[in-house]
Amino acid sequence: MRDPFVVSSISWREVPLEVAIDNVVSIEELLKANVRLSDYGDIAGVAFIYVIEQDEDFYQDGFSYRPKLKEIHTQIRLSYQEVQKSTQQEVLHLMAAKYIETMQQWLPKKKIANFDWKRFVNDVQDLFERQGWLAAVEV
Amino acid sequence: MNAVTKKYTPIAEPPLLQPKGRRPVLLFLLMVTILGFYAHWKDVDFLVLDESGNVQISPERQKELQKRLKQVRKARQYALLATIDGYYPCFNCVQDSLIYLHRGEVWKYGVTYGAVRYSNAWLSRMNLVSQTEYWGNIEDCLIQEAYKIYNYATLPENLKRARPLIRPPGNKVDR
Repeated sequence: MRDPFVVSSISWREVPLEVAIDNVVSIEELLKANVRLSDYGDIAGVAFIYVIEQDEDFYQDGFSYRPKLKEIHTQIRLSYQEVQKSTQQEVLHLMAAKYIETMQQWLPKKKIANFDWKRFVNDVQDLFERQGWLAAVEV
Repeated sequence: MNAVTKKYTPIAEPPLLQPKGRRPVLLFLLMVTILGFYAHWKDVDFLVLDESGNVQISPERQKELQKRLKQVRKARQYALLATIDGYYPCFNCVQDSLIYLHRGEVWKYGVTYGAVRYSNAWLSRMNLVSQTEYWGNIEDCLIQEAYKIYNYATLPENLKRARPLIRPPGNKVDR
């Protein structure tokens, strides 16, 4: 993994680059600048890929932990229809909410040794809230 | 007594038809057994005999084949785009191994098929996003990919370079 936090996207060609590129760069930059993974234990990287596709069953959701590399790899779908009828800022909110929701859902199941996942999720949630990214949006 | 005997000649005992009728079945079972042992010995349990004694692929392999066919009918042609301005690996630059790309410029065209999980290792290794440009069966996607790889040379983002590339920086070959 190139950085401790990697955020990327797989999207249908009609998803604007402002959403497919700028939003993922914003989330990644924010995490890299404000969260130090080593503060939460023995973990080296978290990769999060948003999937925004018309055909929603092609790319499947996945959350895996690779113990040898100490990396988390996540690939999660966002509703194409919701993204299409939202502004760039609204999609950013959807993405931030999905990030937190995914971590809350999967990290307890993975039981990663020496990783304080609760504190990690809380801190990321606080960070997104301070940005106003978790404010409810109407779509 | 003799007349009766002559008139009603005793019915001869039926010839040994029963064993004859069983013979193909026994032969079949023998072949199955031999093939079974052979398959086990040679580790070729992907072969079975059908009712007519013809060699077929096993039901498990048949199922896998159907799954594979379903997968290749459902493919994606994608482009990997740069997310930030910066240097990226270049497999087609004559003198350099790196090339400067601007946000949104193409690094590579590719094709993927089947239900995909973590399809693209490049996404976690480099500053890239994947944009699906076409979907359909694998043949159509490969046609799209070839068309785009060859025509990349004419894209404005390539022509503005001092030395245009023959294909996208991330495509090592024309396929």
